[in-house]
Order: sequence, then structure tokens, then C-alpha cells
Amino acid sequence: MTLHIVTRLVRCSRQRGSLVGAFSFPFCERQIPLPVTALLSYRHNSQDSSAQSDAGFISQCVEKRGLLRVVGPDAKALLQGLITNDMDCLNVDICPTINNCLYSLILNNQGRVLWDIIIYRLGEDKDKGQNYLLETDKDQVDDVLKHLKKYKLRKKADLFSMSDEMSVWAVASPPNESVTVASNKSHIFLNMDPRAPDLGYRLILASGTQASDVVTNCKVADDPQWYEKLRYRLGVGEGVVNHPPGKCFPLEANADYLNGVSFRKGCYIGQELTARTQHTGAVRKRLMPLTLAENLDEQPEGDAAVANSAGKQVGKLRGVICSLGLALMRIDASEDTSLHIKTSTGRKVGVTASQPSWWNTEGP
Amino acid sequence: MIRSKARLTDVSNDSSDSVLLSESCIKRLKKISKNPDDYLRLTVDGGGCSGFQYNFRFENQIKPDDHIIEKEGVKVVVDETSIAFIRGSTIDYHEELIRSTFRVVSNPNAEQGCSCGASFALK
Repeated sequence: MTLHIVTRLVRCSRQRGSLVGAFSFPFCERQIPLPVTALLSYRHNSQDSSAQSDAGFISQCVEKRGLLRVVGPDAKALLQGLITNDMDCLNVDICPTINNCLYSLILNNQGRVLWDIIIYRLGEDKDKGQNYLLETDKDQVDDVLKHLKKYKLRKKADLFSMSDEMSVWAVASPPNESVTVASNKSHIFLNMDPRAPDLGYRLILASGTQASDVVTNCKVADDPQWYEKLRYRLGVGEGVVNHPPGKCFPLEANADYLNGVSFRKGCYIGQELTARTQHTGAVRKRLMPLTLAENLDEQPEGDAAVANSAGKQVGKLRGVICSLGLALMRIDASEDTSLHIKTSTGRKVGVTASQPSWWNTEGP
Repeated sequence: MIRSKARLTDVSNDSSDSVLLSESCIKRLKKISKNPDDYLRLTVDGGGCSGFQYNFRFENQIKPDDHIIEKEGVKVVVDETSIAFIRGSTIDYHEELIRSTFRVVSNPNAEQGCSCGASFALK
């Protein structure tokens, strides 16, 4: 199978603070005009030494994520009925944009999250038609394929795993740097991460290629957990560790703030409950980043409790890395200064929850 | 407002299909079929808010793998892929203020569906 070679060059002026150009990114039905300098800004966290930007760009292969391909004349229709976001945002006739990817969730019939995915629009395959890559957890690729095949029925679409041929990389950039990609390399697909600007770029490469070979002035992160820590600091959940299947709602996973839901498109699995929750405004819990008082080596057992000063459970832990965590927290209880979790030995560790800057709490 | 009576008539050619047509469905089809080659085709496809959806339309072409349910001169046709989803169901015609439509009721294979009745989930 031949993939179309797609490269994107993003350039901007190095002038600080000036609005060089405004790009609209219709990640969902909202057009979000953003100044270019903000798009490429990277929040430098001085606590994490592996985020030093003296080498320009920092990249890491996201080993946990894998890819599958959906291609065929009915590929778009198949996905449209199964995902929370609107495939029309990837349609160049409707949304001409430099970004060719979309963040979305796949829900079950009860409206709960099964998988979070990023969909990449590849160029049309002239023999087969519409052509997409789906990024999801590598160990979930087979289950996602099974799910898509269950609802395919008569639709003309081919589905197969691409996890052996291609890999997913995260690339973060220092402020006001332009990213350039060597255009003579095949199998490169570079996009802004559709979820939050601070996540930088998402790069798809042929397996075995390093981002540092392909992106100018880029090195591979020294810390093997660099990307995970970036995500946890920002409070962006990813994969079945942070979103155990069937256990949270899309709005609790911040899909609305991460540009992953369209409230204007037609029926998809799990739509009724999602739309109803949005319109009643009743989102009481959300996935939030935690800072722990100390590093933890162990991963918590599923849904370990986050308790307040009175010992009452106000959240469920959904992942820990060193002194960073993610938890599904009751929003009204999240500002408590005496939150804590218990380790497997019963010892209490203090935690603080914070509201990420990319939460759009003023509303659309 | 006309209430339809869902009296059941098992009239399929192939006894293993057991797709039933209600009295109101037969009555309606008799009324609107303009020529003897017209029939109602029911297809199940992916889509809708619960994953699968029913699709009714009028046609006059029968394919080799179609299952035909015939009674009192009216015909309902279901293709091979769809029949598995609706064995044991009843096809009904229902009239009420908001809509008058053919619908599938009492599908033993289906679990919850969406509130408009067009989409369903498998058990």
C-alpha cells in the first residue's frame, strides 16, 4: 500500500509579540482564530530539566500509541456515526485549513468513553477513496478495529492496523520558533496537536525514523517520560489508563475544552446523553491535573480515591507519574487544600488539584 | 389520532425467518402499493445514535439473497445481511400526531434504542 507523502511547512516570523497571521483551526464546528505566536508557544516549566529548550525542538516517540487506517468511499460516513466530533472539519471543501487532524472520542451506547482517538486525513487514495489514519492506544488497535467492523455492515471501507509501519511522535517547540521538516523524506505527516496548543505538534513517521532526523534543530528527549509528564502537567488525558473504558463521560474527559466534541452534528453512538449533559450544563466532575507532595513509583490501583480533609472521597485517581497525577475530580471540591491519596501501604500523600489554563470556562 | 392495532400475522415464506407483519402494516401497504411489483424493503445499516438503524423504502427490484415476506398481496423484502438483526421482530405501521411511519417493534435482538425508534443497539 502506498501512502501519499504529505508534508506541511509552518513558518512564522521570529518577531516576538506581534500578530503575524491569524489561523483558524476548526477542530470542531467552532472556528478558533489564534495568533501564530500563541500557537507555537511552549510553556517552559523550569522544574523539568528535560524541557530545556537550548536544543530548539524536543521530541519523543509516543510508544503507547498505535495507528490504524480507514480507507474507502464510505470511510467518512462510517466514522461520522461513531465519533463525537464532526468529520466535516477534515473536509477541505468545507474547512480549508493547514491542520489535517481531529481529536475525538468513541463512546458506547450508554454515552461513556471507550477510546480517545486522533484522526488524520491523508490525501485521497485515487483507487480507494477517502483515506484516514486513526491514532489510539497501541494495545487497543485490535479492539477499535473490531468495533468499527461491527458497525460497518455494507459500507465500503477497508480497515487495518498500521502500527507496525508507522509511529507517533510528539514534538514541542520553544516560543516563536518555526518548525521545518525535511521535505525529501517519505511518510511524514506533521500537524499541530489538535487538543491544546501547549502540546506542540503531532508527527507521524515511518517506523524506525527518528523525529530528530526529520525536523530541523530537534533532539529526542533524554527523559523517557518527557511526553507523559508534559501531558500530566497540562492535564490532558490520553489512552485507557487515564480514560478506563466505560467509566467516564466525554465532558468529564474535557473533550469539549480539547476540541473533541461537536454539538452540531447528527447522530453518533452515545450522542443523546452527551447532548443532554451539555444543554443542562450539569458537568460536575472533570479530569484534572494533580501535583503530589512526593514522587510515587507505583501506579495506583484502578480508581484509587482522592479524599478531602474530612476523609470523604471527592475524586478518582486515573494515573500517576513521579509527582504528577491525573484524577477525575468533583469540581466543587477540587480547591480543597487538604486533598490526599493513600499509597498501597496506607500512607497518606498530599495532593493539590489545579485548573488547566486551556479550560474554556467562559463558554463558547 | 388513529391508533394502529398491532395484530400479528406470521406469514413469511421461510419459517425460520419469523418476521411478522402487523395488521396495520398490511392495511397500509395495500393502500399505497400502486402496482403488484412494488414492495417495502427494510434494511438495517450502521448509524444512528445507538449504532444500527432501520431503513424503509419502496422498490421494485428483488435480489437473489433477499428474504420475501408476503401476505394478502403485499410484500416486504429483507436482504441477507439485515435479516439476522430482525428475526422475531414485527413490522408495524403507526400513526400519531408527530409522524406516521413504518417501524420495527418488539425486536428480540435489540437492546436499548434511541428515543425516536429509528436506531437500536444489539443485545
